[in-house]
Parts: sequence; C-alpha cells; structure tokens
Amino acid sequence: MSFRTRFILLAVFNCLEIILSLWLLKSRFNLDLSQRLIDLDLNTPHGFQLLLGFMAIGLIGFLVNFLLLSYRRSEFTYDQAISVLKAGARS
Amino acid sequence: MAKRTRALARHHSQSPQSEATDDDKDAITSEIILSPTTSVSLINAEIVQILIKHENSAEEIRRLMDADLTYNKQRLEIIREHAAQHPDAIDGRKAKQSRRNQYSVLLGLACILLFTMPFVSLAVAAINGTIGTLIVCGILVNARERELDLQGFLKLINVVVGKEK
Repeated sequence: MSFRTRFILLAVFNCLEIILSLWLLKSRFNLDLSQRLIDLDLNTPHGFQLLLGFMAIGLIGFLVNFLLLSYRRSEFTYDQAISVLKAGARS
Repeated sequence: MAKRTRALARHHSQSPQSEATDDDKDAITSEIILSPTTSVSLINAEIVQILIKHENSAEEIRRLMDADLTYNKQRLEIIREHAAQHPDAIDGRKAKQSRRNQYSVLLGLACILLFTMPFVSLAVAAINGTIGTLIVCGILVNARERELDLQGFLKLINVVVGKEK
C-alpha cells in the first residue's frame, strides 16, 4: 500500500471515528458534548457506560491506526536481500 | 532516480573513513540502490543449484520463486513511490539523533494531549485522543531498529528452504 493511500485511509478513518463515535454516544447515552470526562459520575450506570464506550472506541481506533500505519512497504535493499538469501541457502 | 542511483554508487565506492561525519555514520542504509530498468532477480542459477543439491523438493523451490516475485513487485512499488520525491527528500530524514529528538517532542505532545483529555469537553477530548493515538502508533511503528527486519527475513528463508520449522 502506498504512502498516499495509507495517509488518506488514516485521515478518513479518524474523521469518521470521531464523528460516528460522538454521534453514537450522543444518541445512545444522551451525551452532552460540553460535558467533561472528569465530571462523569462513575457510580451511575450511565456515567460508567459512557466511560466504557469512550474507552472501547479509543481501543478500536488504536488498533486500526496501528494496523494502517504498519501496513507498509518492505525496506530491504537488493544487496541486503541477496546476502540474506545466500546465507539462508548456505545454512 | 538516475541521479540518486549515481550518488549512491559514489557513496558506496568511497572508503568508510573518507569524509564521514557523525551524521553519515548514523545514516540508515538507503532503501533504493538500483534503477527500475535494471533486471533484478533474487534467485540465480547458482542458488537454484544449491537448493537442488540440498535435495529440496520442487514445491520448496516454487515457494522460493514466489518469494522472489513478491520481492520484485514490492521493489518496483518502492521505486515508483520514491520516484515522485526529490532525491534529497530521503537523505533529509536519515540521522538517528534527529529522529530521536522528533520522537521525544512528539511523545511530549502526546502526553500533554492525553493529560488534558479529562479536563476538556468530550468533543475536544475525542480529538485529543485521536491525535495522541496517531502519535503513539506512528512512533511504535517507526521508532525501531530496522536492521532487525533482516533477521526476520533470514528466518523466513530458513523456513522456506526447510532448515527450520
């Protein structure tokens, strides 16, 4: 995958993730966008679910971003690859 | 690309001590050394003969040739990607120390963003979290010793020729 493709995919994914996750939390948990994380009352199911939802979305975002960034081209030089191949054939 | 190839050929022909600055010593080996028109094959007749002598089956040789095909495909992909860049663009980001400095600054920024998350509104916290995630993922993927990849490839070759399971 080329750098440009990965860059576009990363940008699109992250924008969609922010918009969709906030919309989802707003519609399902009546999220107030001006609310702060520190103000969440974790003793209530609503506050706890909101925090869990936020963390789950963050985890998914982390995994997808990591996969997209690591899906990169091989960085071997021809000489390196040849020497490795010869070493492999010899061993 | 041709200019880049010539420059690399000159660089490799020089002795290591000649006019090598600290920056050059830190340089990561350049990724492209041949022009796209050069015919490149990982496997030559000599290697195939060695494999036959070692009584490797035809299936293993075929897998090795598949690996060669994939290698060339990826090599051309790299060349296409780099051809669009200025030859100095790759040299400009080669010093390990400057990379370390960049990563330290970025990690500092990520820490600030993550620590401010609880104290700002959820919309801003989500954006901060996304930027922090991108920084952490980028550093996890890039800030590693790429020479280790060579060991991985050696292991792969050993598996292909049946020396290791």
